[in-house]
Amino acid sequence: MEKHKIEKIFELVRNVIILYSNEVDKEIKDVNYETRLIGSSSQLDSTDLVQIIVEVEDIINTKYGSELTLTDEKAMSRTTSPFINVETFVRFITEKLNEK
Amino acid sequence: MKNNTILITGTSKGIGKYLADYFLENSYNVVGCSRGESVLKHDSYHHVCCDITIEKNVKMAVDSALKRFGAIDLLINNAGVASLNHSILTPSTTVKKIFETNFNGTFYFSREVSKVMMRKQGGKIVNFTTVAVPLNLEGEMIYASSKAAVEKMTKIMSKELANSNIQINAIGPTPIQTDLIKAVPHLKLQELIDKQSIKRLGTFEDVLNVIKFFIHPDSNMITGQIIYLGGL
Repeated sequence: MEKHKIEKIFELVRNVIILYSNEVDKEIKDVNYETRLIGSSSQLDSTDLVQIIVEVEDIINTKYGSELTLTDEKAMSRTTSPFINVETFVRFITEKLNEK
Repeated sequence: MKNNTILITGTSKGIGKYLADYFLENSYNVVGCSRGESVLKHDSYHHVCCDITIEKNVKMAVDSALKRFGAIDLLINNAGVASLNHSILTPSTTVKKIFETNFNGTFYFSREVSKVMMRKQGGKIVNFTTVAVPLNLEGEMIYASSKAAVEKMTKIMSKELANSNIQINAIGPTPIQTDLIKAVPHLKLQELIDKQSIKRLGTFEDVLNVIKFFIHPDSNMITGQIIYLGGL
């Protein structure tokens, strides 16, 4: 069940990243669990990341009827941020949803 | 053409109520909020009972505005409280209350409404500061400090959100005849007015004039600015 949920959230995050990157001409073609969201190896900058988080938050809250706020004290930390890569981001969302 | 939707905090009285009336008369959709029930009745007015110091309340207010009008184009963070006291005599409960309303409340609304504005790539936010910040008025340490924090928020958020075509500015009114200054002694008020270049109390119209400038479509190049009334 949990695995199924994680996969669904991954698909959702993946779609948002692809759509957003197309909009801003960054063309991230292959989004997988290892895709970096912050740091020098990421194609996204902090503004891109904030846009993606806001979009994901809105879709998740609409889809799951939740009131998630995807804020975190370590958001922009390169070592412990939940937004380091797609996997940590998906895990973070799942944990937040389970806190409900 | 779809009417612009403006969200104004603190619409139960004073400047907030005046602004709500003005924008309703000028064909805006207005979302107002205050802790109590609405004092305004208008087809284009939507009221939300909301304690702006509670994050969850703010999110609910923003959701409610979106459900009613489908967008928020403009945000006026008007709600605020003042306190006049010597720093040495100021209790911690006052510090908490003033910061929670003036800073936290403004931040919660700015953050939640900015998310809405980011999705449609545009919007304008006007915050409220005070002349007590540049004048460093004795007896207004907590109030002025909370507003100084709002000024810093205005300047930093305006940079962070510039790419999303969101402009954030602040107005710093002089004293205006509202509940906020009703407890201030006459002599103290006169002392303050004497420090202004233009030596009179401000009016609601003076405040509205600056807000109209900030939210005008031609003001897309104006962000992170603080305008004080009275010439400081």
